[in-house]
Amino acid sequence: MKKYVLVLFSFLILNIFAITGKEIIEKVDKNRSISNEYYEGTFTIIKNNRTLVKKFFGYAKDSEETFYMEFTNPEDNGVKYLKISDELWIYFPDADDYLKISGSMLKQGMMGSDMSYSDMVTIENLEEKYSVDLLGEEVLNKVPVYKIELIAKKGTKNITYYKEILYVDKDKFIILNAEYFAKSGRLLKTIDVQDIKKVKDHYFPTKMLIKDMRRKNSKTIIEFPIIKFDIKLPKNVFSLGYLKR
Amino acid sequence: MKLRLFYFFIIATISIYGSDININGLFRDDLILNKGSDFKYSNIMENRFLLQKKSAAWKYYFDLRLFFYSGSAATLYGDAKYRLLRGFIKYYTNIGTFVIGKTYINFGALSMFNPFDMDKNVNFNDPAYDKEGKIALQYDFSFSKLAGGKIYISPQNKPQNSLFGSSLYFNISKFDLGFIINRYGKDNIISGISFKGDLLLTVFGNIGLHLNDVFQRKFLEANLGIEYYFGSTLFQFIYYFNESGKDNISQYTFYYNNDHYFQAKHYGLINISYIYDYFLNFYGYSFLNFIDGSTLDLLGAKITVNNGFDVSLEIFGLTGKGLEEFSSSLYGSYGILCRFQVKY
Repeated sequence: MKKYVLVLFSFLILNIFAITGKEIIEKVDKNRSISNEYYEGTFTIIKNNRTLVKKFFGYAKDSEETFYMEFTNPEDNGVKYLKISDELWIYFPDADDYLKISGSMLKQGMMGSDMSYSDMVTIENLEEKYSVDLLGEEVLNKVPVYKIELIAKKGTKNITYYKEILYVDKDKFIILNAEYFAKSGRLLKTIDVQDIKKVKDHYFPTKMLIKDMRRKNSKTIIEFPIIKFDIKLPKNVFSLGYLKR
Repeated sequence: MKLRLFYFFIIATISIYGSDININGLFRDDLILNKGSDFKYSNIMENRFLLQKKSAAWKYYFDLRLFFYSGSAATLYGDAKYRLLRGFIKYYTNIGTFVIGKTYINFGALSMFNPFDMDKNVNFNDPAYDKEGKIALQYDFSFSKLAGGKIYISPQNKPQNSLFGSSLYFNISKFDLGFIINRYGKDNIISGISFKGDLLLTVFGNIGLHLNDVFQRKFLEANLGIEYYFGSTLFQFIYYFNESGKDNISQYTFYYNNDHYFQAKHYGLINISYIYDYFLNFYGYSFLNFIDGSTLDLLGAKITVNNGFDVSLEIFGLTGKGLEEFSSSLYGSYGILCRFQVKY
């Protein structure tokens, strides 16, 4: 009898303290909650045995809800992006003019990479648009993770992916691996975080491998060798006027 | 000409040597074979020099292009020529940005047949080719993140011939909107609106009313476009209307040039692009003259061989007959272009 009481008690304790999928996502969002940042990075686009490297730097604020990005490699020198909420503009230095990226163009790969413009503009609060379910716990590359399933809530508009499976580091609450699915169940994209850096109490992915599963033998590695939080932003950096500077 | 170019290089080399000016550029070589009554071969080599220096308070920008011609093109343009597309200094202040020099003064939504373009010529072998700037003083200002405007003045030989204009831009309900007024020549003013945003498709357009110096109506000019991506394939259609355009082919003035200006009343442009991946994409476009029914059609493929090195192959044809605008009897019935391009 004593044994059964002990088991029941343990079960109750475990359930009281068990974390829910929603709480995990809240913690993921909290880790991503950064007031402003400066970053320098590279896109390495790999197709079969061919490789292209693109360099950029930029500023972001409100957990990357708003960002400015400027390319510095010779082929794309001066190409700039401005994202404000879910709107995106690209500036072409040769034409000295900017263009709104909208509608169906958002689905295209940014600068030819496996990351689409939609991936850039939909860094949103996950709980707002998805119903969250904790599928279980696993070990991914020797790291204990929570496996979370996100399914788009009925009637939600402007979502890039219908379903997402996220593998969240149990300790750091950062997404280590993500799989993105269409409504049909087709796997569209995967993101594998390969390196993490802790900056001012936030864990930040500094190396990611992105694969667009619709493209054969194609992958993109995004690296952020320099990342700084809570910096002084240049005046008016998040404005259309600044794109033309 | 050759001597002047030589002097330019000597002066430029001495000036740049040892300075910390950022140098970029582009080398492009177009090999073109045209089939008219017989085959004609042209080679157009373009060297683009971009010099830039930036500081927190100012920016210097210089874009010079040197062209070298051989074959059939040399008989039209000579051996060489140069074009200074841009050469300006930008100075940033708390109240806005001042630009002085040769700068691109652009109005309206960036698109083909934009009535607010000061330079409306189109290079059919590269419709997105950069437009030449104007020597002017420009002032850019912002009201907010997504609203602002600009004012410019470009003095000419006489004060009354000066060009000047202004525009305001806003973002309302996710639509980019612009209001423009521009005196682009003596007795030539254009005023109107531009827009770009999403309905079911992406829609964009520019509507301009041409006026004289006492604001009397002259004619209406407008373009209206839609675009949509089906997966990796872009479909774009642009309609162009020019109220003062010619309705009869006998009114056209023909000329053979790299650049082309549209003279008829109604045109269309169909543009279809397919992005296979970063390294390979296909494109095709068709300019349609709705007055005479002639078309200029082009199919191309661009291969990125390596970082900054692209090779393109284009096949173009003209369907018009006789004196129609896109006439095979004037330009040749078809041609092939092979382009090698390096950006550095």
